[in-house]
Amino acid sequence: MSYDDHDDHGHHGSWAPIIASLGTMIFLFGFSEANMGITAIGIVVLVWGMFTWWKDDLPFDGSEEMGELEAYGTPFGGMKIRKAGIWLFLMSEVMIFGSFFGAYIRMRSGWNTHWTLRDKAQEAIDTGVAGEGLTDIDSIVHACMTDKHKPLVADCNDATGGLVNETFWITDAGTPAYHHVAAEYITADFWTLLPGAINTFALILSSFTVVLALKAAKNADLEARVRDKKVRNYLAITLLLGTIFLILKLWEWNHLIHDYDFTISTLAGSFFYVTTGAHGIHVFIGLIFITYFIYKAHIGGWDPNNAQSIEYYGLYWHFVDLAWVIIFPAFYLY
Amino acid sequence: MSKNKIRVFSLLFVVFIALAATPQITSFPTGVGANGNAGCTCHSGGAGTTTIDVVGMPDSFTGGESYELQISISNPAIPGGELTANMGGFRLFASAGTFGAGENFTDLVQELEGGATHTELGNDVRDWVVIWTAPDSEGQIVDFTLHGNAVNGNAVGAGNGNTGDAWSTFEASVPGAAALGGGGALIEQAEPYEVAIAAISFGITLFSLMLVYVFYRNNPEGFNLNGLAAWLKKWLTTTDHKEVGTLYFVYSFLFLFIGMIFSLLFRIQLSVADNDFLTQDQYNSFFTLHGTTMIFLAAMPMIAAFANWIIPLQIGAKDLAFPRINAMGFWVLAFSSILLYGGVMSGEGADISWTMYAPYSSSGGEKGASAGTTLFVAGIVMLGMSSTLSGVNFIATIMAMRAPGVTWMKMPLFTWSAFVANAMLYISLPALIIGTVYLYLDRTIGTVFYTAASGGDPILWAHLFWFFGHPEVYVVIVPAFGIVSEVLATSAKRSIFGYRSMVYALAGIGVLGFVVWGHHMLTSGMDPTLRLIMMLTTMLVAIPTGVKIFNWLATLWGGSLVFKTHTLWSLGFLVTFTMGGISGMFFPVAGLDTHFHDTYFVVAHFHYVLVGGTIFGMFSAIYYWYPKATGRKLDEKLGLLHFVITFIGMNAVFWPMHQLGIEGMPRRYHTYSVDSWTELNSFITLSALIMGAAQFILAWNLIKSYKYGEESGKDPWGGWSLEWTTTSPPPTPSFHEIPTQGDANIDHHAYPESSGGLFSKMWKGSGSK
Repeated sequence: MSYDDHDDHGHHGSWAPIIASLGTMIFLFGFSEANMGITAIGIVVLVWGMFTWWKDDLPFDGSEEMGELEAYGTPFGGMKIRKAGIWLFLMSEVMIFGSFFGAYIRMRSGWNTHWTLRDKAQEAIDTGVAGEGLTDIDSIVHACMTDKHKPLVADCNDATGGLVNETFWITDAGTPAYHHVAAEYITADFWTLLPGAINTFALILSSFTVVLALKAAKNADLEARVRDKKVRNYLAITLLLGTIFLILKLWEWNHLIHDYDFTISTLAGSFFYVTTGAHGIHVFIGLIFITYFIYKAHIGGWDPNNAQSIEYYGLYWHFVDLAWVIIFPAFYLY
Repeated sequence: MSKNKIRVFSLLFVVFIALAATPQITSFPTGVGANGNAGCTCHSGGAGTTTIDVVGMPDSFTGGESYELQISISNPAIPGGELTANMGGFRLFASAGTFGAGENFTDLVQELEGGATHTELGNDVRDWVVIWTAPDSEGQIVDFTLHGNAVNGNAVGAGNGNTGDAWSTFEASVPGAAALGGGGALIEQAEPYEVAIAAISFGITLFSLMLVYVFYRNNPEGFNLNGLAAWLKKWLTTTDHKEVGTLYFVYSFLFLFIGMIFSLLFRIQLSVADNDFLTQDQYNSFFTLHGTTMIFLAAMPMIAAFANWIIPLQIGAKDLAFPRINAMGFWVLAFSSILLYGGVMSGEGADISWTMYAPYSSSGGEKGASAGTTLFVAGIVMLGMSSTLSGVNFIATIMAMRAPGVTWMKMPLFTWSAFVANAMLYISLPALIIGTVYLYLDRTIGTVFYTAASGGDPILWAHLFWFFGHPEVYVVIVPAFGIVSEVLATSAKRSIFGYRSMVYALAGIGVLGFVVWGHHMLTSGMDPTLRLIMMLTTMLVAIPTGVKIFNWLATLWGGSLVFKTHTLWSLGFLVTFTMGGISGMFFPVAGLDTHFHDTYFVVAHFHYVLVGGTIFGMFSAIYYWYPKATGRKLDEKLGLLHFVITFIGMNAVFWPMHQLGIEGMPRRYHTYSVDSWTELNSFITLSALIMGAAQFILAWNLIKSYKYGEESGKDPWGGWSLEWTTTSPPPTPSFHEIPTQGDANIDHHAYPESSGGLFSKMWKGSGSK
């Protein structure tokens, strides 16, 4: 269905929203019931909805009829409305990754553990089983934490008279399981660290090529054919770099799971895989979009009037890049 | 009869009904009264913990045959071992058949007035055998009622044995052989699940029929299937803000009733002590769905409906910023309800309450949440998507598409409130999305975010949930603030008092809402320092809210109030919301919260603010803006009736809950065993049924007035924000030319008919410039 079906300018119906929503529902239904057939059907319907959406968008020429309104008044006055929308969307994304990090920091700081530890210390004092010379909560906690960041089971066991023992920490080799974070394995030697480093550069470089594509698309001096080719090639490089990123990441996951037995069955593993996985999904969605952009460049759909769509995409892509710049040190290095 | 008389009479009628109903609500006897037929001939007393066992009760009876029923009672609190006399008694009734004493029990059991009871000697034991001879006719079902009493033996002698009694009742139904297959079919009690599903399916069928009827009435001549398909296609593919708003409204209204059905079902369960109308699983999933439905599928979509309809009209925009994303927001919401309800339809409804506390919600199996919970959590993830999509839309529209002259400080208060609410929602929602994604992954692929046994952190869920959850409850109340501000100003025929302070109060609530979430977790063992901080920040919220209340009162003070139905709802809002706000001030005090936590006092508080606040505000908006959407006014008489019954009903339902809460009745419990709570609970249930029935008046009013309501014209109430300058219903796109909003202070000479009249008065009375 295209815009031509309607005479009325202000009222463009679209099947895309209802189809894409139905697809999302079927997908989640199948995944919840662990039924891969239904999950696959859901993905197909979702993709169908997305294609319907893009078919509506393909003739977009940057005009107001096609939805490119200009904002009025404070604070976005003069900016295109879709750009304002992207900035607002990124605000939500900041909170998404903020929640990931908030939860992660809570685990790394051992905040929850400390409270539980203090409860147990109090109990040890009340029942008189605390270690020799330990009469208040702080001294017990301190005795537990001889190594500043890593409470040691043996020490805690003594200090609390056995209240904080192996089962309290759910531990495998003396230190609490949650302390085996991915960084311990990744920073172990140069060759395990390398894929992450390459990924970081790949992503930063891909941000640069998006800007080059935008610059080419906005260049009115170029001949249309040359411009399309340039846009297409720069976007294709971005696609390639993003794909490298994902492949290396999957390789790295594989390595961590099989060589180090670092899986989602520990809290640190859950955080690592879900956070980096969520970031990977953002990259993947970006790559789907960019495939559509390359197709549009291939059929000659870009000109300086509608090139701002690449800019808006670039904002999203830069954000994904930026998120990685924070995830990399937090999850890989520290 | 004049209008006033009708109003007075309907008011009196409701009061009369309420008065007539109240005294009849007495506690249901679960024990036995003092009179002979209701049990033992000598004792009376309350229900106890006595267990009654009957061996030999047949599955079905053969006509004329005798059955031996071995009755025994036991009570761990009153052990019979050391007693020699006055140990127990029983009274057995059957709806048909005759009784006699069993072999060797003739001196212990006797026939009395058609039933069986113990003899004086039989008072000293706890086991009896009764012979029941079945009636000749096999086509019937015989009901047995057995009252059993464990006596402590101390109170010797008839008449003064009341103190040591512990009564309990045993009931059974035995069908005759012919009643089993064919003949008179066995009538079983309907399963509440089936009742709920039948009611919902019936509602949806009615609703679909209504849709077809609406289509038919639109154009009776053009009524055919192709036309219907084209009409449905228009609604399924629409991206116009008014049509999407209508979809939101119809959807939320439907779910308001579905949520109500659930609440009435579990109110029936709670009406008397030790009731078993619902099983525990049913009760759990019903209150879960009641809460989730009312918050996410009724209140928020209704707010989205008004935001969709009114924001572009109030700020002079042709449509929302991203019409297709707006439509997508609605459809994601619509499909999410299938996931949320998927579990109930299969009898495995989610039973984790709307707060979805881990680790119960994150674990399955015998000690975890039921199987439908996974689907439910997936539905919540979809709800999060939906609200993000609609949030980006509203914020972008308000920030970027205000017409010339509509500056931030001249924006109508409803738009301001929608902006604050959506900004809050938009910032807090990611925490819920991430929290539920963690939960979903815990349940599906086996991560351990909330599994304490694997080092997970259940309290993390509470933090993520309430970081969203507390702003969320402001998200549903703040738009009601905006609506009440609009309605009261219009009804008082002046501008709102202290516009600027209203805006700052809204923004203040918006900011404070993010730093108070800990008061939901005061009893979770959090650090005492944090408890103190959360206590103080929570109390701060009362300040901007108080500013708003006083501004509304000041608006009324200086105005000349016109009593329309929407005015009544807003005035009702002022009363009930203030009471709800005051009871809310009990919770931040950590000490009091320890007592009130998870009692009905909490239920009373948040229903006062959600029903008395949000719902009253929304109803006010329905009566206020219905003419703008349809071009016809709602019926004022029906509106008054609806208001009076709902207002009285609402207070009758939720006010007694304060007392129950203070007395310690816990919320989220399937039943209770304290007899003294029965009276208030029965009253609450009856009031809830009346209040629920009253909502059909509104539904009927909406349908009837669509066709037969009084024509309203552009501005039926005398409002002066931009939406009243366009036609009713507005054109598509909503403005052909973008309007420019003036300032009455500067421009009022441009309206000669109002100089010295309405406008000068209203701006003189305003605290703003």
